[in-house]
Amino acid sequence: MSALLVATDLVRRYGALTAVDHVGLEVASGEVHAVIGPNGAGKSSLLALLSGEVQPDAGRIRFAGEDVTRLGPARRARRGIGRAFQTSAVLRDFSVLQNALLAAVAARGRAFQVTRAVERDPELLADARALLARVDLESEAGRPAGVLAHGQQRRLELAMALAGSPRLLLLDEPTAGAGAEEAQAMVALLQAIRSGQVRLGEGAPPAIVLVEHDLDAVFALADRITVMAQGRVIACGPPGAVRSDAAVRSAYLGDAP
Amino acid sequence: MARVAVWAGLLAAAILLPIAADAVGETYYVGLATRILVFALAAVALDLVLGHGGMVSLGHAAFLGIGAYSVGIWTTHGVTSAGVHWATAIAAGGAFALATGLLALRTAGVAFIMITLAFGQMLYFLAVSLKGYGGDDGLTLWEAARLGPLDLGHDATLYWVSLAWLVAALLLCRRLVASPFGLVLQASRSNERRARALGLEVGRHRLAAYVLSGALTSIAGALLVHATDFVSPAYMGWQRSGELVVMVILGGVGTLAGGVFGAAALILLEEVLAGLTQHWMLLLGALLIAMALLSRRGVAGLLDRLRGRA
Repeated sequence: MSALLVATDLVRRYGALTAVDHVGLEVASGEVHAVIGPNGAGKSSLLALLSGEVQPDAGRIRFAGEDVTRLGPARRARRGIGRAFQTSAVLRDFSVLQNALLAAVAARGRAFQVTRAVERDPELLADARALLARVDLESEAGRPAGVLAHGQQRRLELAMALAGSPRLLLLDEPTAGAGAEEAQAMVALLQAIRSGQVRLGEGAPPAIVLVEHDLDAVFALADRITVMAQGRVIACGPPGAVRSDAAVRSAYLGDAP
Repeated sequence: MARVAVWAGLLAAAILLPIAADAVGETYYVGLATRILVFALAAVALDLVLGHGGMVSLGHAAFLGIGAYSVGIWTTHGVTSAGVHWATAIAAGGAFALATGLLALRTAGVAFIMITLAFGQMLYFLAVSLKGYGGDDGLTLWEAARLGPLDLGHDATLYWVSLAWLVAALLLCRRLVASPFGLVLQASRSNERRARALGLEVGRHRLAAYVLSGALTSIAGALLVHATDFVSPAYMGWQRSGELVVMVILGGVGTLAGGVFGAAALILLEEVLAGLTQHWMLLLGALLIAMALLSRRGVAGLLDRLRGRA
């Protein structure tokens, strides 16, 4: 499998703190690559670097053979890097349907169209409804997204991130703040996305970079795991190898699994 | 459907107003109503950026001034064609919005408020320095503008022309807000980060909306001078910008039509309260506070609620 994303030697400092310290990461097409580590390990900073929200102080990021290091988030998104945020980032004052419509507008590249009302556009409406159907939110279409239950908001956001058929999906703690049942439902949804059961359009299932605290979710989903601590990568490999890695056990897992 | 009927009724009443005023001999009210229409146009234009794009501009009076001086300067040189006045207002207002927007839109929140205020004041002092066109004292125009066969010096005619501009601007903005462009613009207000992560370059949407808003507000400035035959830097003082923001908030942020209610409410309140007492500003302030507490979406929100109860 060829590498879809190659990040080399990424460095990001915030004042005296080096949040991301010479981190390298390779993600293959279709792979689920989990990034784990204790709080403050630099996982979310790494994700922000990969999405383009934050520029690295050093290092390079190549995506699908192209150097995207200097591109902002919108451009990277159009090249196929989708993103879901840690704190639910749906548009709270938009209805659920409007959220989905926005994603459909973006996916079809029609952001500058002014000739027709969005809510009377059959093509966009069909896209949006299909998107909501994928994550079981059709019945909520008319409600403001801000009043949805937490798990529903996460699903809506995931659906929006999938709308553009991304080749790479960056997920920041998709099960954070969820109850046990919600977390299981989210893992099941992510598995369905990975296997291609849940998708839009013809594209192959996206690769996923998953930052996650819930180790059950990580071991259920990940093909490979990168372990970070204090801004550095301390281990990388398939779940079995990481689980038994001595450095990881002492730095992070403790006596767990 | 009921909504359309209400609007059609309002529009019919608005069209008939000068005729009724003439019939009862109260032509003063035509001028007052024109003033409301003109400020409503500016408030609707401001709400496009403030209410839908989340850009709180405290420099929109600059556009009123640009429109005003477009009329003043042309008229001084003997050009009384309203078409020329308006075209100049749109071009100059749009260009000023483009130039300042490119800089101002790099910021957000309080910084954006301050930078628009600064640009507004720059233009204010530029107008003060225009000695050839009245400088600080302003400029009285002795010749009314004409639009083809129409004489805009005629109060009712100017009223109808202003009404036409307002209706056109409302329809245009409504259409824009409902379009994919408008959805993205509103998304940039609601959650810019999410919008960018979807691949949307929201900066361009904001800039386009800002330019359109500037051009429409400049038209309002031109109409204002057609109504008063007087131009002065006072048109673009920051207090004027503040009044426009108050109109939008009073009428209902993000409702477009709220701009019409807000302009009507503020101008009528001024008119009524100033007749009652010298200290009318105090009363106005109290009313504004009450409004803010009662309804977050201003008059438009209040009307919605009343209808819900009825």
